[in-house]
Amino acid sequence: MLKVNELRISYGDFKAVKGVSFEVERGEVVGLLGPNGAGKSSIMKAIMGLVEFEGEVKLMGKEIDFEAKNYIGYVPEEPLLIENLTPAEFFEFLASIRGKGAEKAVKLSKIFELEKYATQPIITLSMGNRKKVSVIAALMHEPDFLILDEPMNGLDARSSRILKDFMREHVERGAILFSTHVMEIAEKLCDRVIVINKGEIVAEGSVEELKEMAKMESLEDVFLKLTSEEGISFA
Amino acid sequence: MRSLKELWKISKPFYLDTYLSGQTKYRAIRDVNKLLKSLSLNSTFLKIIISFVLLANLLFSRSIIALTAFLLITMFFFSFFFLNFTTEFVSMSFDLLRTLPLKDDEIAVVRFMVLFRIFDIPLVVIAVFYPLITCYFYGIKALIPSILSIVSLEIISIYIAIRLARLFYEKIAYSTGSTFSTILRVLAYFLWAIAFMGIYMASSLVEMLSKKNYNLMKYDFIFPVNYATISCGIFDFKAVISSAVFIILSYLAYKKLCSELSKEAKIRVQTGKMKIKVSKPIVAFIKKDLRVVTRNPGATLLIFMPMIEAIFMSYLNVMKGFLIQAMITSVVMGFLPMVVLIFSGMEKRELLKTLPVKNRTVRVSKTVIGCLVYLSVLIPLIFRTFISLALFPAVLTMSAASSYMAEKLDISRNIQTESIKAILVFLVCYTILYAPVICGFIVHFLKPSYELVAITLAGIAELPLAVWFLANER
Repeated sequence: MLKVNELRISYGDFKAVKGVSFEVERGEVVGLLGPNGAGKSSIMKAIMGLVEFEGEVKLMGKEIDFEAKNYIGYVPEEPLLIENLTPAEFFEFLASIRGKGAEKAVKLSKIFELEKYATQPIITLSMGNRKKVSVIAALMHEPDFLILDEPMNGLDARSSRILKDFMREHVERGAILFSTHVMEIAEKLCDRVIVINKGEIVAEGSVEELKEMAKMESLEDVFLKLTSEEGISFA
Repeated sequence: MRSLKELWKISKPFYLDTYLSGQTKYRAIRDVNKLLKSLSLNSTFLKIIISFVLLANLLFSRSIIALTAFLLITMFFFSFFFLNFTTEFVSMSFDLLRTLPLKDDEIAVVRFMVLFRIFDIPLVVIAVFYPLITCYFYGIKALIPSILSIVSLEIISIYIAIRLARLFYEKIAYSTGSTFSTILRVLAYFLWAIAFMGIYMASSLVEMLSKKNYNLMKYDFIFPVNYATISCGIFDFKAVISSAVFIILSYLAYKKLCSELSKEAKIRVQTGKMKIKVSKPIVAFIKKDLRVVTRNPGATLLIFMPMIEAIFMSYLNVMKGFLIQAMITSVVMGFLPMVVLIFSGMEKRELLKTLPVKNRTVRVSKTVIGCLVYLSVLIPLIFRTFISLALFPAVLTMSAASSYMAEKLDISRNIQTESIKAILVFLVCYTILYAPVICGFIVHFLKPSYELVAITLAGIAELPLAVWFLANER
């Protein structure tokens, strides 16, 4: 469904991503794991066209143009919102641009318990509620492909649970690429994980495969070994 | 208690934040340090200009009528001109100060200093020069009354500014939930913009009263005629009593101001049902822009400015003859490129990149907004001159050009810091706007009474440019 080939991203002289290639198939949940500054968010931003890059990024065999954005739902690490609008006004704007999603936004607002803040400017909402707005904005048009950058950050336990359930449900008809720092979440949700360190893929495979390769009990230990200073790689 | 010098230093970043947060709320900032320097420089420059304008006005105030007008103008300036920053000030959280080893008294002093910094240069300049100049004109007997008058007037003005800011922040700027609240918000801004134009009104009132040799002394108990009277060294009973009452009131305003500063402003939390009304993408952009802009006092004022100016010019009845009509219309139009740039600047380009939206849609929406703002100018001006109507095609082309360049030069984020790009945009915009006016001038001298035809044709000739700016997808 998603094909990333030889992706390179630089910020001035700093090379954030150094020739990363991977694929995400329909029906798969792929976790991007890596320490802070490894390049996870940059890869996701490149897929969305938010940063300049070299290499190839294709969704369903086509380059990601403006029409392809109809099929993608993106939750950035820092919510991308229009803070002087209320959630209702923001969802109305998005539904008008996409031509769909109004009813789903109302439904999701109820599910995520955001309805009571519907007419309050986003700027006045708490961090967690802003994250909920961001998550609903990404899900309301029922996209095929979800890109979730640290989606659970800032969400309360109930909302995290709802989102996890939603991800499991969604993957039956689409695919998900998501990043997280919480290894338990990655272990529970991911069909496959890609570990990135210093802009390069250092390991790729199912959680079980990685544990076996590293001969370790937990994904956390595998992760710490792969991203340690010695720079071990199973890729 | 820490020294005032130390507290003054602590207040500086909070003061800069009143400028910076107004920017970061609406756009992404690339170089914060550069922006801060630029904002700091701009604000100092603006304050020097205001001080200079007020001082120049004061130097020509050699009668009770003129002094009354000066005091009114000063009050309008302090009450309304800084409303954007005072609104930011009242919305600011000083929680950071509470995490530092500072006592409550010290925090209150820092807050007071931040407020003082918003007005500092004009406040001090007027407080110093008003007594000196009135003393020079009316003798030493005017010294104490003029000091008391100007200090109490400044306190009353700042109190009004803070009350207005709290009102805007708590009740108006973020009022949401219904169409009625949006209309109310726009109306409130409109009234505020009219009040701001009180500066012009005060000047024209003085001109009118001076021409008629009106004796204001009959009404010297009215504020601020009372202050003007005692500042001239005339101690009429009514003026003295009235001034004493207002000085007491200003003291009470000062006490209230101090207590207001210790309370954080709170937005009234509104609960309402989630209603979503889907519209066409261009309409969605326009609705979104109008909603965002009417929650920003500064931007709203700028949008209403051309309309208010047009209403004012019509009211002044000065539009006689082609040359004056053309010049006044040109001045009123001068605000339009800034208006379109402000709307383009509010666009979160990163968010747009994640949405299935064409750049063309965004540009068309900004062009429609530019034309809508101009329509508000056109309506009052059309009663005086048809030049405004003839210039409509040029306004449309300028709006398209402005939104195109804002997008391509990424000027929306950097208008404060990348002045060369801004100058380029303004140069192109003003060329498009004023080329038909220049054509009109040339025709006026060659073949009078054909000016309107020339302006219209020149404007229409620019329309292919508008099509290019709007349709270009590169």
